[in-house]
Amino acid sequence: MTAMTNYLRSLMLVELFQGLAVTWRHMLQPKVTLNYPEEKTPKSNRFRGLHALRRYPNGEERCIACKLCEAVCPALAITIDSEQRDDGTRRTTRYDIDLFKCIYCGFCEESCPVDSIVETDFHEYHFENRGENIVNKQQLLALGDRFEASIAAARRQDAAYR
Amino acid sequence: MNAQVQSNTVTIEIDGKPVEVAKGSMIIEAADSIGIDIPRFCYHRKLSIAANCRMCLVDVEKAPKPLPACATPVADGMKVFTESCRARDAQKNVMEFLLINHPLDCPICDQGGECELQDLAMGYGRSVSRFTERKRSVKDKNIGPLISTEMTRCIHCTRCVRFLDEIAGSNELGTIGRGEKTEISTYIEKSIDSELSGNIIDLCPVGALTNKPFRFRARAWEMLARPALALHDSLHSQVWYHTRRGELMRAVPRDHESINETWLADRDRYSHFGLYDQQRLLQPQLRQDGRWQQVSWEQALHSAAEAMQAAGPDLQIVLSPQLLGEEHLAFVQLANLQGGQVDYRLYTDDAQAQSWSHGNLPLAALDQCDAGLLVGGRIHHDQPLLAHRLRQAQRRHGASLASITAVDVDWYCKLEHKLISAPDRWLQELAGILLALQPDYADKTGFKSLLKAIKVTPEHEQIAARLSSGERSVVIAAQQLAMHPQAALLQYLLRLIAEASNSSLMVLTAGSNTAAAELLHAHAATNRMQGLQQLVDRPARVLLLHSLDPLLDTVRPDLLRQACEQADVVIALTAFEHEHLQQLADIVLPVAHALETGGTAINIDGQQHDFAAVGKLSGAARPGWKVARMLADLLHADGDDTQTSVTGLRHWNDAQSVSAELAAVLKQLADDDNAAAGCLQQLPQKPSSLSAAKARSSKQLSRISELPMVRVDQLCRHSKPLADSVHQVQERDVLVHPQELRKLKLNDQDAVLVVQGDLQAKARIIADQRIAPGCAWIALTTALAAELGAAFGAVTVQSLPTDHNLDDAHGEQQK
Repeated sequence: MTAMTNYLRSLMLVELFQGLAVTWRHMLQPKVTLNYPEEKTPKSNRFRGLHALRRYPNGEERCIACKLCEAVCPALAITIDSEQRDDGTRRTTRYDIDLFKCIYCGFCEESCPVDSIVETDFHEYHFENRGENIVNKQQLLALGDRFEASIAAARRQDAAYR
Repeated sequence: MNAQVQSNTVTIEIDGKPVEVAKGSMIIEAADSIGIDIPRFCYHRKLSIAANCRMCLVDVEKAPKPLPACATPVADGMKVFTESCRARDAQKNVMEFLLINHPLDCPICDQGGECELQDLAMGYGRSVSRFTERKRSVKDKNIGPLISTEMTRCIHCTRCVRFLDEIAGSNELGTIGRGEKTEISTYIEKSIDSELSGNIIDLCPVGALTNKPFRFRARAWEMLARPALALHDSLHSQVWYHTRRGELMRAVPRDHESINETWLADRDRYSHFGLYDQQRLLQPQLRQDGRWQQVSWEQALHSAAEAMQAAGPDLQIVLSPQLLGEEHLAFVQLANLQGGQVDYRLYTDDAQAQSWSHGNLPLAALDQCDAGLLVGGRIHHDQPLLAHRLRQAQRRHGASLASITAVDVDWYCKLEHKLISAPDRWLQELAGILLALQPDYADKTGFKSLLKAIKVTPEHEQIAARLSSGERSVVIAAQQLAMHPQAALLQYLLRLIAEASNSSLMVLTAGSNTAAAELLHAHAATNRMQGLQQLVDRPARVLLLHSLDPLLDTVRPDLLRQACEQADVVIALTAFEHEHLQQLADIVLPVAHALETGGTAINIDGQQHDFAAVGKLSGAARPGWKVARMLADLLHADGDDTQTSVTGLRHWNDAQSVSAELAAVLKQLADDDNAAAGCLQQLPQKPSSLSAAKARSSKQLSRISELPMVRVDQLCRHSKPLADSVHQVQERDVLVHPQELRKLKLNDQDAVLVVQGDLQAKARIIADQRIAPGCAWIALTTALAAELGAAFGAVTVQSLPTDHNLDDAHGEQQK
């Protein structure tokens, strides 16, 4: 009896039509694939991408060289040298992040008492030469200036949960 | 016996643990002795009890309210609870009060991470403050270049006030105002001048007083603490150097009860900043056709070896007495290998003077002494922590101290007698005390001609009486005494005074590692120089200088200059560049500083300590013993090792092998009774000539010199914080008593010409009440001293015509 049924099923090409049904169903559904980089998916406001150092609206850098980020960094990716600036404030003279070491855990931004070091939603970067993986203070501040709008927007959205 | 012990102790119970402590001690001491931690801010075991922070409140059985553990004496059967609900509540409430006015600026505070308030707030503080009113703010005080203040953070524990009052003795800080308006202040705007001032940084439990040169440079958690010694005085204070990535960041004291207790002198705390000075020599240099060229080590060593090869035994090696034992051993062996002469005694002008005497009173017992006589300069600048112990003897035990000096300085403690006299009168003063002790002394010995004219004053008699009545009296020869032209005679007189009054004798010297140097040179060198005069009397073709500036680091710059000029080749091993070396040397080799090599040192007590390298090597600088080894290899490249008298030098491959050999040599010396007797316990011997000094004419002044505290060695001279401190001296000042100024018909700050023998130098004359009449005070290590001769001697001061405006001299000052 079973042999009979199997023979009929194969004769009628039932499995073939079942498979084709899946194909037709998906062919008619709307597409999910994006044409990256022309099209992009939306990101969480907590996305942890490339780092940046922020400034206050008056242009003063936020970082006060407390070195908490350096201390908390589990990958030892951050190196800071600090000194007293001429106006008597505590400032960094060197702020390097080794992006090869960084594991993008976000502890640095969590530890920062002045919201200076942040991880932006920018993740599309590459290096072409050895040594470029270490971003210094000037580059980080420039990144902060470049992404300030999106950083500020992300912080605003997340403010209620901090 | 047993009953007596019992009567002196009581047994109390802390948190259920019984503890037996001395009667009269406080609960907090009892708790500390069994490792129970009671939170505290104002209590410090070395300071008096203030009980003003109230953090140490504990619950005592049957007491109606919590009691401060630091100010509550123990009583037999007392039951203390440090963690009961009532104690905890009291402590938490105190913490809340302390935090009311404390700014919560830990991220920018230099104390962050090592702050006692931060630590205790973790355990006793609330997570959120209930205080919403305005916080108090206090204006910061400028108290000098060493300590930075942030007075808003102060919690008024008054540890700093009590330290400066009780330990430093200078009484420079106090509290003004009451209640919320209380402030720690210097009363009038002034810097803190104590030579121990840096300790208030360590004492401050919060970030109100922090290390100014170190300010904002590193966090406690990112530094490694490496043990080492501070090699600027002969105590060898124990230090932790905090390093980050191989670089020295700061120095803090390492507890050692018999040396530095828990303190550190400012000089030891701030000298290491000189290590990274711009003038650090990082590459060998060679004078070629009159011009300096940077060369490779290979080229420099070959040039040096060539010159030494040509000179053969015609070689003189002068080592700094500050160098570690390893360096002395290496260069003594190199001198032996070549048959040349070697010496380190740069700070004595009298070849017969004792450069170091162990003294039979250990340093730790000095604060128990009951009478003391100090001869020579200000010990509190030369040996700050030794002076601290004398001060404790006076302040706590009422010791009667007397001094014979040429400068009336503030000792920060009460001196019963201060004899201010010109150095050529010191002999008379000492002889007076000796005769007061033994009136018939002159008749018994060969001193008759010398002592017959001596007048014994009532002061001499009083000092003598105090010394002989004291059970533990001490006679201290300060380092200036060794610079005196009659050092040997004065030291011998001191020995006689000490013997006649049953006192201990302590001979101090400039040059921190003199003890190790003396041991090694006396027993390992086959050919020692007999005094600096030999440099000129028997000039050598090659002169090798190790870690010294020939014109600054000596009492006879004139002899060193002449020796350098007479030598064909001057090889200088140095950690720092200096214009004097540029002028006088031919080959300059960069050597590592002691902190970068580590090694062995012996202090005034004869205690031997060694330490490993603290910082990494700078530039091409290499340890000096490696240079000695390379030179030995080059000089005897074809020679057979077994034929040379040296066994060690050419087999040294690493620091361990050097230290091992040094340890073996020192152990052998310690075991050898003759050597130990000859060196460790040696007392000043009777000098061969017993004549009084040549009398100076009435027009001449007696020159007195002092090694300024912040310029004792190359490292100190290159340290910017020390250069900025109040102890800095001017390059061309000569200080005289105002009365001499009137005699000379000069005005204060006039340009003058100082003439000493054939030498003369331009200077600026300054009136100073503290200088003994008839004296001219000139600091060693200055441009002025470098142009003159012996540290002590007769000088004349002439006025310069008004058109001489000292312009060039001022120019040098600015540098």
